[in-house]
Amino acid sequence: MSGEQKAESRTLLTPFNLIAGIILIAGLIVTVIRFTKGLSSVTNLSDYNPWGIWIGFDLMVGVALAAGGYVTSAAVYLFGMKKFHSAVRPAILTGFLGYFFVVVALNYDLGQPWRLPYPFIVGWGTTSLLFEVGLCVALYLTVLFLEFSPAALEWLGYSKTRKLAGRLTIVLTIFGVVLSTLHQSSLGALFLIAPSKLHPLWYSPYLPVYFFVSSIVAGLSMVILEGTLSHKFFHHSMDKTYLGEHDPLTLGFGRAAALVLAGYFTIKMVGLAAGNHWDLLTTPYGLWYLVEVIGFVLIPCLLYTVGVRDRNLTLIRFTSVLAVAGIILNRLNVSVIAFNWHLPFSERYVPSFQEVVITVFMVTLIILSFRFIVTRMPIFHEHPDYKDSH
Amino acid sequence: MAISRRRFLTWIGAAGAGLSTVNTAQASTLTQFKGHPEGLGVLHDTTRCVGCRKCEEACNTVNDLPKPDRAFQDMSVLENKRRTTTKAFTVVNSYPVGSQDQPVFRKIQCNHCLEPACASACFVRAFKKRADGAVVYDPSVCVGCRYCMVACPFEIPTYEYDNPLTPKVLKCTFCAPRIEKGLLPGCVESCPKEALTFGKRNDLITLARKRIARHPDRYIDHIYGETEMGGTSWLGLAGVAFKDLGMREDLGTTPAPALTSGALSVVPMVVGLWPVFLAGMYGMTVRREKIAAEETRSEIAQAVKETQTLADEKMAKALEKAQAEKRTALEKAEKEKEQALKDAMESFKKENEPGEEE
Amino acid sequence: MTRWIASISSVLIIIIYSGVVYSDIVTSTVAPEKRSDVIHIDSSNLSKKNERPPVRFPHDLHTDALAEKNEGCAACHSDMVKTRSFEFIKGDKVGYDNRMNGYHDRCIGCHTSSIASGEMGGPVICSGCHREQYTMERAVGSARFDTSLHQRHNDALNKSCESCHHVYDTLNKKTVYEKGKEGSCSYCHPEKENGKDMSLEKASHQQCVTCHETRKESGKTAGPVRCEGCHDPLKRLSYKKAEKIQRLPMGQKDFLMLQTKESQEDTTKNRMAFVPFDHKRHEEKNESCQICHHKALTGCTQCHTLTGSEKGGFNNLEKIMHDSTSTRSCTGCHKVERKAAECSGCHTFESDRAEDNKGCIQCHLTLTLSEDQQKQAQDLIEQNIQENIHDDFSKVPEKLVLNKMEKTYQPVVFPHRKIVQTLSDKIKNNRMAQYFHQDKNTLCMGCHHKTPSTDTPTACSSCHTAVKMDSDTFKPGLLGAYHIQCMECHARMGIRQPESCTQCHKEKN
Repeated sequence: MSGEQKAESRTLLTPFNLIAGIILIAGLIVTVIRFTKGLSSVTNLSDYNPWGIWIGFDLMVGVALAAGGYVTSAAVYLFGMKKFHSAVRPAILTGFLGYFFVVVALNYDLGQPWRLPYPFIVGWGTTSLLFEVGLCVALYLTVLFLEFSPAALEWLGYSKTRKLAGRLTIVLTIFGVVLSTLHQSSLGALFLIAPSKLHPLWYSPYLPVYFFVSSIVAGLSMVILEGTLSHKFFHHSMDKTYLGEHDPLTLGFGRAAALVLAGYFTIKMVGLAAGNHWDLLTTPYGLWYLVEVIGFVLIPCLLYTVGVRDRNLTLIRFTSVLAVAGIILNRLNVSVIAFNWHLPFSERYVPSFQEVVITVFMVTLIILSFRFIVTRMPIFHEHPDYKDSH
Repeated sequence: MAISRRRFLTWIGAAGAGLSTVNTAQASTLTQFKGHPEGLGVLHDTTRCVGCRKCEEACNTVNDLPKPDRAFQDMSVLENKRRTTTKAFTVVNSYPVGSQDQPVFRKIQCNHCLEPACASACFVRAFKKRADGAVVYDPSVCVGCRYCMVACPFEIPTYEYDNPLTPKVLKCTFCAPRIEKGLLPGCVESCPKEALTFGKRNDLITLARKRIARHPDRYIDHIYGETEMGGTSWLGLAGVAFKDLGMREDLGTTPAPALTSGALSVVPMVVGLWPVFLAGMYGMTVRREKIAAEETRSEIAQAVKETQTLADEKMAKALEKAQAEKRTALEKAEKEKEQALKDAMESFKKENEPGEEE
Repeated sequence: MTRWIASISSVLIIIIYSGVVYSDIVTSTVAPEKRSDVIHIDSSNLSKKNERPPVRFPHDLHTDALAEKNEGCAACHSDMVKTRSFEFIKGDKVGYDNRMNGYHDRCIGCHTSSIASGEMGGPVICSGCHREQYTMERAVGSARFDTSLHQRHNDALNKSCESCHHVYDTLNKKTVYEKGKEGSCSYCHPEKENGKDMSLEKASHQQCVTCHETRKESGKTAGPVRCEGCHDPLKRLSYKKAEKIQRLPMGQKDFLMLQTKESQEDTTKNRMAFVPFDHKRHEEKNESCQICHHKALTGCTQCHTLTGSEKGGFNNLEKIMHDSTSTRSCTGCHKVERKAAECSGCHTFESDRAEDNKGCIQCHLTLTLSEDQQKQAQDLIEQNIQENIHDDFSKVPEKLVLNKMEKTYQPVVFPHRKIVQTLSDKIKNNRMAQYFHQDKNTLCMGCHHKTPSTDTPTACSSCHTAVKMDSDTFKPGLLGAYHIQCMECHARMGIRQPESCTQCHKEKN
């Protein structure tokens, strides 16, 4: 492929590669410290704050933003929207890399990560929502791997295995949606056990529903965002079909996102009424809640609607950034900002520099892996030998 | 892929069967666990506590914990509010109360809840609630996810963040090995004012009620831990409002497992119903596409047929016309031939007639 | 694009503004001052929705302000001279609007004219008086009379009971004095207006304040006219005490034999043994007759019958004598007395050790009545008082070494005799204590409990074991028994508390 040749002929010393290199080195150093000196040497975690941004961002935001995989594959294969077909592979790839590095990041946070399989081997802790999250994420990672495998197999040239993998698509897609529903909602349900610690405006029995619905928003918006960025940086890897479907994809997903955001806003208001903590809206936390719900849910909804109506692709692309920011804000609010809100400021959690380094490290690894794969494997283009097989 | 009726019915049946095998998730609160009948507990009477910290010292000795930076006799530590740490499974705090000139002291430790949040949250079952009331921790299976610390409403479990290879969650063990042998927990044994009374939880509740009835002016009429978070094995009495002693009064009486059992009970529903719904959507999509393809094909066929018919008709007409023409042509030719013959005969006759002329 | 930025910004501004306005940052968190002169002017009972919050009126402030201008009560309470009534706006029947206008005209009018004439005035705009948040709070203390105050009034008015005491002549609709019927004002005047009788507040102000004001105006020594003078608890503490309080002769007996019949006229047998009652001493010891004679200056059985009657609020005789939660019953009042520092060292444990006391026969002494009941009662009481019951402590061990529980600390040297001597000294001048501690061994039983009265009680360790038996969750082990007994007693009796364990027992090295 022409893209491959281009990648090899370019020099490695681009500004992006330099920065990425520095991040990689910093990440490796912190990794070594973390595993030789323990969590206290690199994190600001405490007995009051057992979960920090490695859970709040790396895990929760990571899983939410990787939701594009199941949303896109469901739309194309189950609901028959064939015109988005070229978006499936990039979405699956984003999802696969997202979940893969979620598991990598998890290993940093666990006290004894080599015991990660224990819930499935030693103590089947089914009373715990974390068990449910773990099981579903593990299975879904497998599903994503299998859904991604056709692209890799095409690149490697194993056509018989490739055909076999291709036949699993529908089953995997259904399974993927089921698993995604379960673990996206369960990540929210994790906090149901701590009503005394999560601010009443964020705590709701509807937390699982909120997390699930907002993951759909995240998926749709991430596909648009990822498409926009890839279009800029990986244009050379894209074929005519992909390029042709790109704009209708933005429009179509923008329309879907507008609708889902409207639904999400509605159920948020229902939850607010059910909780009946209206008096808290005028407190500082209440204002912050309104910023999240109005600025990052209602306004993206309106902007998407206007963008779709006016066919303003730039507005839709801008809104996708806003929507993704809103998802990040929501996950961080639930896990670290509105959590332990009742504690005095001296006991509150602020991420340490090294925690931020690892988080950035994970994101960088995702971007680098993404770049490696899309410039070599048939993600943005079709492999000439398999033109009609999917 | 068209779904056969058989396959569809199989799926419905499987979903139904799946639902019926679900363990009754305790989402319904009609039943309440009131504790194991022989469950033990400790009654902490804060009106008796003088803040001497002998319990902290005893706990430290019994559990072989490292000696603290400030000695147990150093009462100046009471100036700050402390919490349990990896080196102190229990601490005593001093709470100044406006209406009294002396502060009130309270001991903090794991409350060994009847339905512990930590045990419910743990995904490897590292925490277990024993029949004797103790909530015990098994460090050999703990993965270190720290969800138990998120879950505990009393903010008790502590973690060895300093330990890179074998970090553990630490908390009061209820001196499980000692109470098995019929001994008292270390803190209970060491308290000089018997602010801690050890016994069966049911007996302790009776005792607490008796104390309240005998001294209504001394106690607030409430046993802390009788119903909080579904009930705890460690109970408290106080002469001032519990929230003035840092004991939260807004925790409610719902046990922690009941808070998440609702969400968990939805899991089998999703597993049972989502595949049905999605497969149905897929089926409908496929069917829709098939029908669309069918329609296109039949339209083409129709169009082809019509064209063919038209062409045939045209052909037949042309053929008929050609035949008619042919016939007329033949007739004409015949006539001409006859005429020609006739003419020829006449001219011959004329030529061969004698004499008339000449 | 700009309209989006504009609309988003305006939404955010609205949110922030409302948050700041309604948040706790802006509102004051200072606690309002408690004043005894605050009157709530609130007409919401006239069934009309108040448009503005009720007014809190500081009366003393106005009294002082008017006094500076040499004006008295009549400046506002114009009816006072004729009818001695302090009503500001006449009655509730005036109606809401008339009430409002009345207040506004007179209050704002006076404020305005004061300001106009260059003096200090009060608020003239609505929110000046009708405030959302006040800096003052109503805290009106009781203005009760006690025997000392009564004596001072007696002296000042030369024993003219008719100056204050009266009964109401319903026929002629006026108050008249009737000798022998002097009683507390509250016997006829209820706490709250009940439509029939004048309320205690109104009656007291009419009676007391007008008298004080009149006397003040004529230059004689007078009581307070400011609310604070009678109603502020701190001011009341500084009252002069009467030097000698004379007994008020109401025909009461010094000693009584209390009987348990249905009524004083009942001729059936008594249900319980008789109780000798030292009425004179109880008079001297209490601050006011009303503490027991709360509805009338008669015997209890006039209203409280054996089975209970409506007049007695359906509280029967047994209950009113023995209800330990009341401060008025015999048992209840004595219980309060036992809370005193000298007594509560032992008595703080009495609820836990109730089986130890003598019970009914402590007071219900005999089933026969003699001719002279007064003398009988007096004799019975004297017989049961043991003065100086503990002059001889030679049998009491002087020191004890408590060594049953040595672990971290050395044995305790317990000054046994000194403690008993101290307890005895505390009883010495208290006749009530001397009566109830008639059995001298009761001093021992404060600590040596759950044993009968004996000269040689057992040691703590014979029942309180060193290793606590958990079969009896209600009985402390020896460690707990020592510390609970010693430390509680010290705490209740106000004896210096040890600051550390080593002050009572040194550490073992």
